[in-house]
Amino acid sequence: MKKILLIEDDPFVGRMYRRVFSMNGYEAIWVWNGADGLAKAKSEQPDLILLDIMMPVMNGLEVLDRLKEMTATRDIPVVILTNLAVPEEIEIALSKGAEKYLIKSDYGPKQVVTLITQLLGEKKTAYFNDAEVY
Amino acid sequence: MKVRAEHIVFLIFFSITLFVWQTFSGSVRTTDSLRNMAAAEKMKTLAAFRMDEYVAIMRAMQGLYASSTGVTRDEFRTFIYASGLDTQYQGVRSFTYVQKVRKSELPGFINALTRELTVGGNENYLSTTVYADKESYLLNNYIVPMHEETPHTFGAEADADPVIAQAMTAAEKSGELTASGTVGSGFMLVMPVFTASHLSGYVIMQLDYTQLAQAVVDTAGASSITMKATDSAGQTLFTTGTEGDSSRNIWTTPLIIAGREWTLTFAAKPASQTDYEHRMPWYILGGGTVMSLLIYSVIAGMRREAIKNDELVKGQATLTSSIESFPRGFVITDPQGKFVLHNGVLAKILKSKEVAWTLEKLEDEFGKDYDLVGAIKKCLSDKKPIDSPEFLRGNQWLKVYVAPNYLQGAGSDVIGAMITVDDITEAKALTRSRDEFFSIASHELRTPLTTIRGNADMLSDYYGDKVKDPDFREMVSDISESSTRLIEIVNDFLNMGRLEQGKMNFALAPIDLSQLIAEAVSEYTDTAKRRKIALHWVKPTTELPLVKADPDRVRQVLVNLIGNAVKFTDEGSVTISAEMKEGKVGVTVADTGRGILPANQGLLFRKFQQAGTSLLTRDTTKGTGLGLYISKLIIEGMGGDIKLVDSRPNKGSVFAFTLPIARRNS
Repeated sequence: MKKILLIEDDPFVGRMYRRVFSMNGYEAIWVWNGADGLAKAKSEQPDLILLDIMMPVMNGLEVLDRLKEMTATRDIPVVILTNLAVPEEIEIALSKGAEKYLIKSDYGPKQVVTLITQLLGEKKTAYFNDAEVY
Repeated sequence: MKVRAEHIVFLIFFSITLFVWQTFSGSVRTTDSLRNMAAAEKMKTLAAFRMDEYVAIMRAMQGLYASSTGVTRDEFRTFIYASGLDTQYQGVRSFTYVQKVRKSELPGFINALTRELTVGGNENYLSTTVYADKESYLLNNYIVPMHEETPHTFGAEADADPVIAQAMTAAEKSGELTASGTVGSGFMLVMPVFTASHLSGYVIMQLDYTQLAQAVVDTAGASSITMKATDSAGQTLFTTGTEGDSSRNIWTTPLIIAGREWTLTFAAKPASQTDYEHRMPWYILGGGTVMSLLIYSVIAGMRREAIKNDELVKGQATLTSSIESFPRGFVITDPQGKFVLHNGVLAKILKSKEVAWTLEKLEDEFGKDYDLVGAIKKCLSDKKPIDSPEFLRGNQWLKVYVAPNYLQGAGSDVIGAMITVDDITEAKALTRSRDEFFSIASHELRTPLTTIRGNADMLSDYYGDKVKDPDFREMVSDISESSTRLIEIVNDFLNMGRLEQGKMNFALAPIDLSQLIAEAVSEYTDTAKRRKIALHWVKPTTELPLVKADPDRVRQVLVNLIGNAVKFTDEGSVTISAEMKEGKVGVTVADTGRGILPANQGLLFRKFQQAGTSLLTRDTTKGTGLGLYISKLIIEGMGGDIKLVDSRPNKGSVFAFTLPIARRNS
């Protein structure tokens, strides 16, 4: 079972994404803030992290920085899932190593799952391709 | 007519003039009369005085002959010459001694005369008169001429002239000096001489009217006065001057000489005084009237000037207070850019203590970010307003507006420039906070909306087949669609805000429009099919050049235009075509829909506008009314343009936009 870490401060949004991922056969771990997110990412080693940007205390981009700094979490793919649709922010996030930048309001929950499943599939293929090389 | 100060002043001055004129004319007349009367009186006195002298001489002669009958002619002549009568008494023509001779004495008288004539040898002394045979004769003993025209004669009958005879008879009767009537050009004074109570002869003085009068006038020294004498019968005896002169100022006075009454009439010529004195009152009247009129016009002029000044002062006061209460820095310059006036707000805005601003001082104050001198110069030479961009002075945002001042409305002579300086720091902050509010609010709106739509979607995605109730399914579907629309509206707001603020970064790249159009069209294929309308993409026969544009934004515009066309067309078709035109690629979206009323066409590309006629008729189910406005911002932001080519109600609309062709090296 694929493990997804959802870092999201909004209770309703968080609950919605946890539910849809659970319904689609994922193990969805949901934390409310960046600090918890960093801890869970380290301890749980999820297959993918869904990261919000606008959060109290530590915003998503700072969390992304920290994830990419730590060896334990550096390789976990991070997908930004936010409503902040500012092109500059998108660019920054992608340059910091995010796999994808999804605007919440542009996609329904089912679409998000589909996109993530797709992404993980590609990653897997890439991994196997890499394995073949090694 | 309204009574004004100048009317009253004019009346006062004119009245004074009339009064002075009247007084002067009266006084001139009075002076004239008085002078003439005085002169006349003097002449009358002189005449009477002279006559008295003559009377005295006659009495003396009477005494001479009365005392002795033996006075010889030589003695008589000697007496006359010795008395100076011949030289001192102008007007006397002659003295005569008339001797009464009895018939018996006549031969002796003639003998004596003849003898004397022979001794003297002077023929002129001889009278040629032939004497009548009478009892007594009145014969000229001797006539002493006082005038060269009068001859020395003697011997003739003295009473040959009836007038003289009449006077002699009267004189004998009264025993007094008697004046004769007119004889020739004068008259005679006849004095009887008695010896022992018997008449022995007469002493006669012959006088000439004109010479006598002239003597009087000369002595009086009043040449401007004419004197006329008339006898009791009204017969004019003489006159000095001519009748024509004596039309004014006539005095008459009686003069009694030797029992005969005469009337002396004096007349002064109109110019008895100088012309100037006579004209004086008229000068005063004329001058006074002219002065009054002058004063009238001066006062009227002053009053008008005062009113004008008053209006000017009021106008200026209004202008000044308006300028002072104007909430911006305000300056008026002359045609050279020199400051004519400015308000106090200018210093307040610039937080300066300066009170006497000049062009240079103001430019210094603005700093190097704004070329005020250049702006003024350009404004005055181009005669066009200059709306300069906002600029930062320290931490203050300023906006300067420079416009020409015309003498009379736009296009006429430029009489200077007007500068307004506005502190827009506050307004800027407001705009910024409004923009910030907009983007934060929009963002915050999207989060709950995401949840609503997400949950609704999940309900239909995962539970749709479990719930059989169609009402339930419809309700879930409605929630989903409404929240989707709401999200679109919020997205529009965010996009618009970014486009308006110029924060939209266009990712410009050479793109193939044909492909983008095909993709956009395919998005609406299903909808068109459902609405049973034809949707055509008419590919151009020749390949289109690449355009320089942001593909996402172009897609947005295409979706908007095609979406609108499909939305507003109930039957017929929507046709999309593209062609190269004047260095640009033009895309046309034509439909056979309901069209747009001409009155609404001008509002199409404005904010929150839909083609409906009012808020109430606005089709609120169709969108925010921002679509075309955003499309316009996008296309213009990428260097193209967008417009409504044609639209007729119930026939359809044609929209078109262009995009610049990408250069080969870019």
